[in-house]
Amino acid sequence: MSEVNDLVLFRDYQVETLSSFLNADPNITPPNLVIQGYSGTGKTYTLQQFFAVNQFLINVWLEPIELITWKPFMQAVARTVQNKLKSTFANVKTPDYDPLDVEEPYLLVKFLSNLFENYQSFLEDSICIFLVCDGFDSLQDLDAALFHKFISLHELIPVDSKIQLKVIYTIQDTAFIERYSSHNLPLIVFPRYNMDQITDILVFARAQELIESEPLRRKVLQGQIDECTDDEFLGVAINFIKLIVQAFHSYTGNDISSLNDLIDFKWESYVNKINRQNMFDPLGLYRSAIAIFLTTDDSLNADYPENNQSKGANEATQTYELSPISKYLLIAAYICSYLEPRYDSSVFSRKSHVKTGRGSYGRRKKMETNPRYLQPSLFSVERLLAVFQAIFPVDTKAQRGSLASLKEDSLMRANVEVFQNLAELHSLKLVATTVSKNIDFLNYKVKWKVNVPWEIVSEVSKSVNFDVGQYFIGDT
Amino acid sequence: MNVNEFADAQRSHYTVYPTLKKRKKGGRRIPFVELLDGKELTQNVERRWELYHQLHSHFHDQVTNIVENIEVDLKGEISNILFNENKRRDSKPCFNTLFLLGSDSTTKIELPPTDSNVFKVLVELTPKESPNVRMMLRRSMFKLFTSADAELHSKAPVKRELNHESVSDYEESVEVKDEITGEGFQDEDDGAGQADVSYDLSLVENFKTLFGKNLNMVFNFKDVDSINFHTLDNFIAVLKNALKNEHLQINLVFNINTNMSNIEKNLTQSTIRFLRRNYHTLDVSSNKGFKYGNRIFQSFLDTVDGKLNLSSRFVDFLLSKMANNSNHNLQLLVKILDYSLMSYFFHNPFSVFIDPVNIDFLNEDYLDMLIRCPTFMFFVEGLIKQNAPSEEIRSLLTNKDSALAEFFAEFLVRENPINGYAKHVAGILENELHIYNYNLIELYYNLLVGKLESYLERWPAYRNSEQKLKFEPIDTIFQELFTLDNNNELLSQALFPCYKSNLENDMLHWEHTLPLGQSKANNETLIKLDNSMAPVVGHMFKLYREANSLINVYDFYTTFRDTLPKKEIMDFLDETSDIDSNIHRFFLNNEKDIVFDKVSLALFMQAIFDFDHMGIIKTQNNRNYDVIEKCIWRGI
Repeated sequence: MSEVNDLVLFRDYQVETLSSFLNADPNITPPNLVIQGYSGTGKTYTLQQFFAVNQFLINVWLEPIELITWKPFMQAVARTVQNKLKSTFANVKTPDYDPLDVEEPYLLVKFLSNLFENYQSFLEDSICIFLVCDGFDSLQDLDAALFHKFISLHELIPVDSKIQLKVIYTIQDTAFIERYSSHNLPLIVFPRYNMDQITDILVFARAQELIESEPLRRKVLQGQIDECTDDEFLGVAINFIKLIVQAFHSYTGNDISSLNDLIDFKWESYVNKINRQNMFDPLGLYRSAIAIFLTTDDSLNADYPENNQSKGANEATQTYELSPISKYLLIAAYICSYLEPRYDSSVFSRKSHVKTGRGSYGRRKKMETNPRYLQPSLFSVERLLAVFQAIFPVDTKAQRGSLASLKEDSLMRANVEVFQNLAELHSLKLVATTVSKNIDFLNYKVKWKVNVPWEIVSEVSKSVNFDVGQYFIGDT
Repeated sequence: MNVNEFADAQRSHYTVYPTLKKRKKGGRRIPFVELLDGKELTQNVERRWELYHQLHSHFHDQVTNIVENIEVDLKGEISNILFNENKRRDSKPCFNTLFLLGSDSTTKIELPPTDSNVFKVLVELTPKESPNVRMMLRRSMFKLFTSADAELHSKAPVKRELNHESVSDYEESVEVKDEITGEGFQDEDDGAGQADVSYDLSLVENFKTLFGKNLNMVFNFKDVDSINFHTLDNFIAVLKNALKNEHLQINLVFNINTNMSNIEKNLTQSTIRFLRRNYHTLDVSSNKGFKYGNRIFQSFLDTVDGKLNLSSRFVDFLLSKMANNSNHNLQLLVKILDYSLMSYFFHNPFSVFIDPVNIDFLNEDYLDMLIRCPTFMFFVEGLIKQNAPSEEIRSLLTNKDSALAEFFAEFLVRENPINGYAKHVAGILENELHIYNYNLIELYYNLLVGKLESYLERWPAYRNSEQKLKFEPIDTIFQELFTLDNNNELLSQALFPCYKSNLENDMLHWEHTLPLGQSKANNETLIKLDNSMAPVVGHMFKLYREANSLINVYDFYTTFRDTLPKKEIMDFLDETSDIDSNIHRFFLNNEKDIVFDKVSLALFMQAIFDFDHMGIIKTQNNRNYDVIEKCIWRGI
């Protein structure tokens, strides 16, 4: 067993337990063996190595995640077992059974008994065939009964059969196993690695690969880093892995696969920072590559909006995929939905001096709940356009008071563009109407409401430098 | 009542198609009219029309080309990413992922022609077809199987040689199974055990043994935002498992119509990380970026090059209108350019000289306008300041010895360098600085106003070649005659009308639309009445404007009645009663005051119903017939 221990780190106990449970002699091997461990705890790898070393154990592998439901799963069991036996005992002529006939659990029992029966006379000693269900609980349509059917499978197959099917389940979720705890199934637990172990494992598994990777090779050729020994390269890689683990351990936890991904993503940019000087100066290299370790960079957006900074702030083109008119319409729709119409005259009118204070809208009671938490209220399109007109900034080119300024409108008019943009907002479902079919949009009977939350509106208003918050201060 | 009539009566709205009056034939062939106060030669009108047609059709030829190319370009780009991408020599297997942003899921993906080693299959999954992982997998495997099977059958002789036994076995079993399973799926299992296949990933796994080819699968997820993300995530996880097969390459195409962060939010982090290993994003909405807009604008410049200039006001107008319309940008651009070209030829008599051959037709009528050109006046002013001989100036102004005509002809052949320069700058940006995301229209605008540097400064790469791109805009004499402009808001009015404010303006200032004091009636009293009173709707609208949002009908009526010019109306009625016996009887049966009351009520009702149809009042909204509610804000 020491061979396996050399290949698998920190799993001495588990390997030992495995080897005591799994034996070529069916009489001392339990029919079911459960291996529990969360993802990235080395279950599959350890098993693979175990069977690789103990080649005399006949084993077949299944990945339930690919099989989705129980029926293909059972058919796959039948198929793989039959194929394995056929290839192992190629000299035995046996009739073929169609694994697709296995449409019910009892048919699987029948299939297996018939199959094993054929070998009864050819075999002298009884043997084990190990079926590994790698990730049993990752089956998509898993139900509570399925595992029962499998763990009691051996009871239904004749005991005197020369071939004994032994099933090994790897399972991630402890809750799943606890449900079957009364069955006293032998259980091997693969605990999570701790941080030091993870570092060691990653160094063991990845360091050599990183050194041989293409980017480093290119860099070495470019930078003429030639006076470097293999050990020193190894040092760089090991150092990198350690840095990654230290920097991101708090983010990934003890999840080896995500750390692995991070190593893949960042190695190339780390290598780019290497030069002749800092090759042997880990601290200097770390300093020059510090940016790598500051963010996880595992978002698809990270390298997407590269054109953002090239766009000038004053540019009139789309920033939020919406035109300025659409943005203001959306803001106006939000105001209409969340601000009561009776305040409109005081909030938007420039002639607010005509009637100010409570007189203009009656006694004002403080709202008990922030209207923002409520459903948006309905409004008519005319009100929307009025608010839109009030908030839309029109940049007058002519000087104030000049003759030319008389020609220019100081207010935005609702022309076709405005209606086009409103229609666009509606088709993007950012604003909604009460009726959904056959709408005559301009009819006053149609009521509108805004269909986006505060967050989006505030984001949109920020993109046009409009402080929508000021309209809602009074209500909170 | 028959059924159709009944159904018609139930409809909430009707569509009325007005019958078009047939144009008088034979009279005029072209819609252009004689300019220069009607003194323009018919010949020249025709020439203008021809010239306009030449430019217009030339421009549209190119636009059609460009628009057609958009799709071709896109397809090329997609298949380039999917199939020609050099496989990363990354040791780890990964998907080749392509995010199509802003896609409406109609983008077709074209598979390259089949080759002998790799079998390519396109699997399209819509949200409806993807309720759960099982169905997604089934559907895609079915698609894979049927297309592989189809190809196999078409090339059966070749295949048979290669893999005779297994193929024939396999075919037999398929045919048998086809009837039995009836699930639309063929599962087979031949004796040798090498081709065991069912409707799961084992089909992919054994593809090479079955068909003797490598497999390249393209999954096209349509309308990704509507697919259940949990399902999608699980499906990707399942596919991930299949990647362990070496003969397999999987491309995932996601048609996204929201944005990347939405996708990122909804898929698990590990999936995102996995996709991130090899992914591309492509913006497929043709409006994104300036590529096609630039091309169309460029082709317009090429069309009018050496003939027409664009004023900065016009280009500014283009820019602002395009910014306001994010979806149909290109169509809008073409529309504005079209319209401006048309209106230019329609109203400018000098447009005929775009073809310099027509200089022969230059006569007194034109010269009169020529002298009043601002640039020309400026030029003359300059001459005076420089103390040029007065003879010369005078001959220019009076066209003595056709000096002015010659002067004008000389300028006809001069070119404004700005079009050429815009092209030059664009060339440098693309070829030398490798900047592609510039907006040619904006660049042109900045060229016109002489602020090219401030536009180009946003790209750091520009700073090195600053000197190369120095440009000073120059004024050419008579250029205003050959400039597309938006000086009297004609374009904004014609292309972006304000429905309601136009309506309101017409009602308030009806004399703009209706001829005032030109009444053709030779009736004295009628003219008086016309002069004293606006059309009824106009009159009422003035009152309407003054009112609050809720109007009491009776008050409204009394006000209306009292503001009517009583004397003129009565005079008119008196006079008509002589002719019309109905009115005469009406007069006989009623008191004078009651007559006026009734007439004004009739007018009032007429106006109210007109308002109702215009949609500026709400009636019968709350079953309260005493009030009518306004539904209009001034100027909206």
